[in-house]
Amino acid sequence: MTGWLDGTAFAAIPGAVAGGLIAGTLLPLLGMWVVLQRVVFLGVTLAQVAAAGVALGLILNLPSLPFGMAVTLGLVTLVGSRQRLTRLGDAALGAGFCVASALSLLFISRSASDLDEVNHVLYGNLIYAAPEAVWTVGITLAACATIIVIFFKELLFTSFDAESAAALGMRARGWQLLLFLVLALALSVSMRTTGSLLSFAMLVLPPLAALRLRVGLRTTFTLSAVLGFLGTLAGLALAVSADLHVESSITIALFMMIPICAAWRRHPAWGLALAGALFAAGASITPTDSGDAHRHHHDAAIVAAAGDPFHADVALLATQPLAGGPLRIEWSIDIHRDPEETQVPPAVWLLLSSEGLFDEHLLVPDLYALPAGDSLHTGTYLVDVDRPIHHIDGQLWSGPSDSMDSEPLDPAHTSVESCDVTRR
Amino acid sequence: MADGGTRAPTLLRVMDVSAGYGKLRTLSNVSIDVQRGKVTALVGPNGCGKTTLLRVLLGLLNPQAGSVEWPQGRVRVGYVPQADASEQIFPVSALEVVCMGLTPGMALLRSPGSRERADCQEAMERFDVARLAGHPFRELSGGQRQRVMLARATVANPELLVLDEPVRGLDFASSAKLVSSMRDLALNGGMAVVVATHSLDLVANYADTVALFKEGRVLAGPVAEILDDAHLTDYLGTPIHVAEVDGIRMVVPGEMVTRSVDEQRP
Repeated sequence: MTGWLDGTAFAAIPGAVAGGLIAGTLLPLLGMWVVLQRVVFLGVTLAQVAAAGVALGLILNLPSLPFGMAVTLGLVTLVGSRQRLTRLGDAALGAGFCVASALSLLFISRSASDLDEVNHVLYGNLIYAAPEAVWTVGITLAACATIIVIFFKELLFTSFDAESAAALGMRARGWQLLLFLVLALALSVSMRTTGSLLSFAMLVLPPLAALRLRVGLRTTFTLSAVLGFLGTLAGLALAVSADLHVESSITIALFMMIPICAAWRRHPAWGLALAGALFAAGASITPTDSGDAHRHHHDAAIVAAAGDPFHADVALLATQPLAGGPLRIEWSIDIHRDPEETQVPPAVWLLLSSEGLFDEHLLVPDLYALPAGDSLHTGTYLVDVDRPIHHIDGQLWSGPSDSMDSEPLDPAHTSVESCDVTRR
Repeated sequence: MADGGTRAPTLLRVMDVSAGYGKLRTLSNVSIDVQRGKVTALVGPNGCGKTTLLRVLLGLLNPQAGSVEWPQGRVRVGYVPQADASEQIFPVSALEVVCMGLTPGMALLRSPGSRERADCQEAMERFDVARLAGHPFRELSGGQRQRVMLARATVANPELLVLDEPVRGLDFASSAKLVSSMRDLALNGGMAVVVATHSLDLVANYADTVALFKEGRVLAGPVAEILDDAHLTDYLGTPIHVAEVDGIRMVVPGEMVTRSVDEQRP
């Protein structure tokens, strides 16, 4: 999947690029209906319901994606068959949003699953998007967009004037239910890759920008997809160049499409000037060193991809209950190995050492088996301690899978980001 | 001027219909006939049940009691909702709005082609809005929008046309054009037209049959019989006077007539 990005700044994050661009292009086509029917809050509530469904799947140890999808589709069907979803009202949607958000957090706090997994449900994991997840998102969103195109005239009439459509014999509520089921399906699936924040941003912001241009219906739909694509690309570029959180960068870039389109509407030169100014401002942002386990992997991977035949970078996130107890270590390691003949250690171990704590943990066994190129590995484990720990440092050590060697790996080829411990 | 005395084929028969929303009953034992080639007006204060009856006629609301019969079989229906019921954020052109009227009759996977667009253009010409075909619907004036909606409602050649307060918020000229078009559809197009309205002048001069609503009950009959001072005063709850000058009926508040008489006294 990386071939088409070789030589670009995105070579280290092909999943994020593919997943982001697919979702950024196709979700606006669905979001346009939400915006046009003035039920934007229904979109964000659906996104949150999908997140709660996925989190519930995790806590029940069920396949989280199908389960989250089933919960969302079931809820939409249940409510939509009783009344028109577009008439739910702000109060009902607000209540649904609050409850779904609270349930997501509750399920996550009780989940025995990998903390990575559950956090990604809410905040997205574009950086870690695996090829199969990208394929799933791509196929599902393409199917959803196809349904929208095939039944465009029916969805248009029932969205524009549901009562007249029903009066003329159409099953207006059924068509609207189909629309929101498609939307729920798209959100449930894209949630695992983009998270609820970015899914909602992709759903709403490009359509709002396209509507600013005040062009015809079909052109508006097409433009929303184009603007979604461009905004996502700009956000990814910003995140990579300035070492920023990917999902937030894309959200901001998508939002900036609105003033750019408003300026373009006044005069195309104004739009281009504003876009150029924003691009220059984004390019002037320089990377910083601070951050957490989620933030800098694309940066580390890009450094690694720059020429070092073997490089391993570890990011850590540590949490400990307020009342004391086991330290939860969330780790991710980005391994770069190219060419394939490069000598690598048989396995990589993480040695934590701080405030009197020493703990060793096997991160990646059988490095020989890894394909050439970049690979990302994540995981979580618990360290038993009987006192509060405030800060952790670590080193990478080599060794076979059953025991750690007596020497650390060369720091010239490895890095471990230290981190403060978060109280929960 | 309309004459409700001529018999015409009955298209729709409402018999002892009671209807409402949940436990709230807004119509009780209402019976009216809707005839081809005639304009039937529903008149009454806000909340009296006019829209409820329209929704029953359109099949959007099931009656709690009574029945709606179609003596000649179910017919095609056209509908013009209240002016503010149509969304204005959609970036659709006037032509696209009119094309929506053909959607229910088209096959699922078919898009409007050149034949359908020609039908829409023809419908728009009928209501003098053909030149606005490419204009964004949301940028049209209220009167233009209503005529576009009328074109949409009639593009599929319905036999029953239902209009919900079509002249609300329109200026005098726009109202006159719209009402004239509506009357023409009944007289020359043979449609049965049902219109809910607050415009008594419209009813007095363009309707054939009128149904006066008050607190869920209805008094229905030819305009010439029903639209008089006593009935209007009773049903609308305020003194009303119906005058006729050169064959044109004028409906004015009764207080105005009393004041005018008082002022003429020595």
